[in-house]
Amino acid sequence: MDFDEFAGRYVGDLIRLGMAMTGSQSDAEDFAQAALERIFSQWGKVESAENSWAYARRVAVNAFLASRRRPQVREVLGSASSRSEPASDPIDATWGDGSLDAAISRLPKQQRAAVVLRYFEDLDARGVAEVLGVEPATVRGYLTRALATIRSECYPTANGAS
Amino acid sequence: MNTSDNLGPEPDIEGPLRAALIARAAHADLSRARQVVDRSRGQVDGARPAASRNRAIPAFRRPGILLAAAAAVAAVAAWPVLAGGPNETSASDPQTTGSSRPPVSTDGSTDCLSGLVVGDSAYRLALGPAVRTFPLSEPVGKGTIPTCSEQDESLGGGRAVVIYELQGVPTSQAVLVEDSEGEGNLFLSLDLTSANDVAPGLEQLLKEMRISLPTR
Repeated sequence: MDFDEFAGRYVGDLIRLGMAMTGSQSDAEDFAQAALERIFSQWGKVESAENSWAYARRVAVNAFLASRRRPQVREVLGSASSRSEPASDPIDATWGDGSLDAAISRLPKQQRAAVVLRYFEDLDARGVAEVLGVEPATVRGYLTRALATIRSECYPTANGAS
Repeated sequence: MNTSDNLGPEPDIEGPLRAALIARAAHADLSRARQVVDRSRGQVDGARPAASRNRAIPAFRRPGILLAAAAAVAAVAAWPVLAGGPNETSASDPQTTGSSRPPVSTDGSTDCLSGLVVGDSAYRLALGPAVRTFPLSEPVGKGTIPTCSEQDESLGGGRAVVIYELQGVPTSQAVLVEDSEGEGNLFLSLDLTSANDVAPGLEQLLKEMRISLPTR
């Protein structure tokens, strides 16, 4: 498999992962592009990796964590006719006022990455730790804090959370 | 679902959280996936120098754009709203002092403008001895730096850019242009003292740079 084939196969997955991570189409595309740039520059390693998607995912997440993109920046336009932008808040349709989506976006990057890897990519603590390059205990800490934050923001009166 | 490793302290939020993330991903627009791949190749093949967010985009050094930028800064300094507006910080702001440089290099051989994106949400622009801070809007447009020559290409032509409004300043009068990798930025405006002529001039410049602006 050469780079073009690899990129063609995984760019959609990278954009979706970027959407889960950022909630923004433009940021998701940037996320995928940054990942592919890094992958291209170290293609030899990617090519020989046992699980190429796992490698690509790790590269993408680490590029995201190293980036300095603006938090919660949402694409406003572009060529309107060329886009099929979702509703202003993509989670609105499934989650009331969108507070959960907003709470996710407000999480610190490390916590957000851990949450996405855990609940979107469905990795266990060890898997998340491998992607992030930290110990599983650290991942558990990220997740505990992230869930506590989300719970307190979305369910301020539930379960005694404040 | 793998929940056997006891990661979450309570189960109540996990289901909705998972649903929310999946809903986000489901809204991904993949129609430009091919462009993302192409841009990633272009970025890497360009063998550009190491990134620096505070470096102006090299392609902007082209004389026409440099001229516009130089005129812009002079005009900004003369424009009362920008020079003394209520939202600006003073030159004594500890975060900006020391990082400011003249915003325009007179010989055009180095960065044509100098500003500093601060805290990912504001643009700090050196105006002579003063430093002004403008909160940034969300992106209001995007485009591509044109590639007119091989040299342009090697300097970064073809790179995607995003533009932002400087809050409190009409988009027709000033914008921040930043490459989509966050590696360069440029404050753009035209003669702010003759407002009637501003919008067409800036729009023409942005059109030349293939940057789209919202319909006003």
